[in-house]
Amino acid sequence: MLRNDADFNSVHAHYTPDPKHSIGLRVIYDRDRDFVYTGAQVNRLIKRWNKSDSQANIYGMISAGIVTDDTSGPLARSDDAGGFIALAADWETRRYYVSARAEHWERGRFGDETAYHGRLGIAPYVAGTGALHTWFMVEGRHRPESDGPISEDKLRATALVRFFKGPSLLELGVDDQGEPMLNYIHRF
Amino acid sequence: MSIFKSLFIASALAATALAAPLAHANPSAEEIADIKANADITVGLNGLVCDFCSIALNKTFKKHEAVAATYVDLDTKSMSVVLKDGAALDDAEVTKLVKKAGYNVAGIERKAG
Repeated sequence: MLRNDADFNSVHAHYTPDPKHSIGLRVIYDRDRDFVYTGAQVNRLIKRWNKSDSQANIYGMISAGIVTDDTSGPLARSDDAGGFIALAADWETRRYYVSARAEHWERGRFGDETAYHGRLGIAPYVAGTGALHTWFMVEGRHRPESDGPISEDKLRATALVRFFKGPSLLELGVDDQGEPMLNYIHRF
Repeated sequence: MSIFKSLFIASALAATALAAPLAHANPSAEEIADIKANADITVGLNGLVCDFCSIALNKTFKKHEAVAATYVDLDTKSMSVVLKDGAALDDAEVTKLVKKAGYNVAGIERKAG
């Protein structure tokens, strides 16, 4: 999974040994705070509700790794241990999508942080098996500890379109400050 | 910053380029009709909302030695399963495979005769 937005570039490669767990490598470049996080990540599906026309999930995530300064020179910070825990939930039908996520980071000298994300989505048409699925979504993100003023960095909204066909998912969006978003997921 | 940005953009493009040939080929309309017409088992499913669901189900069932072909239909919320000649798959095993993929069985029908 590749995620690129106003604050981050992130890649998450993971293996799913069973439907409830995935283990993998996560690399995040935080452009807002000039550091790179590299860590191992474990995701667990805590609970799934399979209904006739919908599916809902609660996920837990934990990651541990190392944080490296992206700047150089005498003021560059030395490496430090880091990691995060997160709780995420989603509910979706073939027409509607809702998700929420809260995550807390511990990054030593690079600063701790709690962040919240949420998404609402609607499919303009209901696509069948193997067809191109299209979604219009709105994502909100709150980073209370962000360095910038509230109106610019702490709270952001992104409008995006998701294209989904077979094992590939592509998301293209733009946030309320005109910053682009590009996400890509491929399931092997 | 530019190095990492370039790295991620390059990774995105590389992944996209690599993914295309690796993407699973969708069965043709004729193959789908054939699987549905010859299905030994039709499994009604709960929780089926997207193509990632169908990929997980197809992958899980195709690993089973008794299964020759599968097709998941999002519209009918069902999976057609064609068994290999002489092979058998009882309801308990079907339910186990569906649960293993992360879904629930709503009903199981078998070809008459």
